[in-house]
Amino acid sequence: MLIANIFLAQFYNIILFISPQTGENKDTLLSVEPGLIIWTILIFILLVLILKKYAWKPLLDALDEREKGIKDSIEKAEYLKQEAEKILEENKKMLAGADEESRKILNESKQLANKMRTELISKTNDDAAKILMQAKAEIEREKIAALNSLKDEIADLAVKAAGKIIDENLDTDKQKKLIENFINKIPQN
Amino acid sequence: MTLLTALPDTLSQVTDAAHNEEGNWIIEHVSDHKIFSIPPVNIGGVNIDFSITTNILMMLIASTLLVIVLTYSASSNKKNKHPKGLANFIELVMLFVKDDIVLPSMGKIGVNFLPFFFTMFFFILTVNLLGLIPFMHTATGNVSITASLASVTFVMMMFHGIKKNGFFGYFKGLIPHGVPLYVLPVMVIIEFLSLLTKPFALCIRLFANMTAGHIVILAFISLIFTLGYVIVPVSIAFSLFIYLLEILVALLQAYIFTILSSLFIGMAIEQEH
Repeated sequence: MLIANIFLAQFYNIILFISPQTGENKDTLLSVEPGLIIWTILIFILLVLILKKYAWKPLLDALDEREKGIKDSIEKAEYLKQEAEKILEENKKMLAGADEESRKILNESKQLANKMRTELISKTNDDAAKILMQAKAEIEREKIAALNSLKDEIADLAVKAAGKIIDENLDTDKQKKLIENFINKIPQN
Repeated sequence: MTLLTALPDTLSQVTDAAHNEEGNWIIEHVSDHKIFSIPPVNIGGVNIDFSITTNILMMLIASTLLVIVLTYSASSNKKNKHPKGLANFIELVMLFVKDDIVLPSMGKIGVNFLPFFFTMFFFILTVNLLGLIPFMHTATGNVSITASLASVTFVMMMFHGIKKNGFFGYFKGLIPHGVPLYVLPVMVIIEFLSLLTKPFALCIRLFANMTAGHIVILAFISLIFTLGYVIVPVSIAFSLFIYLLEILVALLQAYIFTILSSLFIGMAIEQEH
């Protein structure tokens, strides 16, 4: 009960003092004082004027400037990014081209090398065969020549030997013919 | 039954207490005091007292603080490429007022009114917060001061509304289009009242919000002296809670006063009816 009383008393008091009391010159919460109003308006208007000139204008200018700067740098960054992407694309293209090129060159050189190798090998084979054949022909020729000279030698020797042995002067040409006939009858080799 | 029988008793006690002015110290605490007397000046048959009171002192302190802090941050922002510390915080609040209060409620024309609303927001906020410091006084807890702030808004409303729409155009624009002729007299009265209600509501809202918290805190503290020391923990806990609430209210009321002012002025300029 006591608490309720105290609260009620305070509430009553507050109501009593909030309500404007006409006639009495007493301070209440809702009493309007012209002096205070004039002071407040004066202070507020002066504050608006002073702050407008010395604070808000520079602050807003700085803000705008920075906003513009940020916008500009974002745009610039965007532009640079696009540029960089373009360059990257070009580089990639160029790199791909170079790769292709190098592969082509490599292929060509491989083919060339293969061709040269086969050519060289066949040429060498041909040469070798040719040399072999020449050598064979030479040998054959030499052999024939050697045989021929041997035949002559043998004929001469036989004539001389027969002449000595029989000591009979025969017609050399006749004898030669005879011997040749004889030799020819001898099987070759 | 007990309650009914106790009621007259209680009422008599209450009225006694009121007459003895036991609770007056609360009112005493939240009301204005003269600190430097100036003799009243008679203007147009009305005696106006221009004495410096605690509220005026608080407003002067707040204004000085604002001028110092804001000019400092303006010069600091000019110097630095990006804002630092206090200037950064000030800029944050400015951007909040600009982008979340003025521009949404007024549209593009709000840019021209930015200095006015910045000043209004920072002034009310500073005065509100200064009042929360012990031994300081809440100037916005005085109805004369909130009335003057609201009247500044009202004058801005009328001035810019009439400037944009013309004198007759403005008052004609207050009444919605397509109203039947027989409703017109009623509408005129209602719209005229609503015109006056706007600043009145602004004034009372700020004043009541800023005063109520103080009165509640003082009531909790006064419980200690009436109920004894048993109640101390409760009183302190609740006072602290209300105090924290008052910080929120101080921010909120500055926001609400500014957003409503911008809304009203915007509506006066761009009449939608």
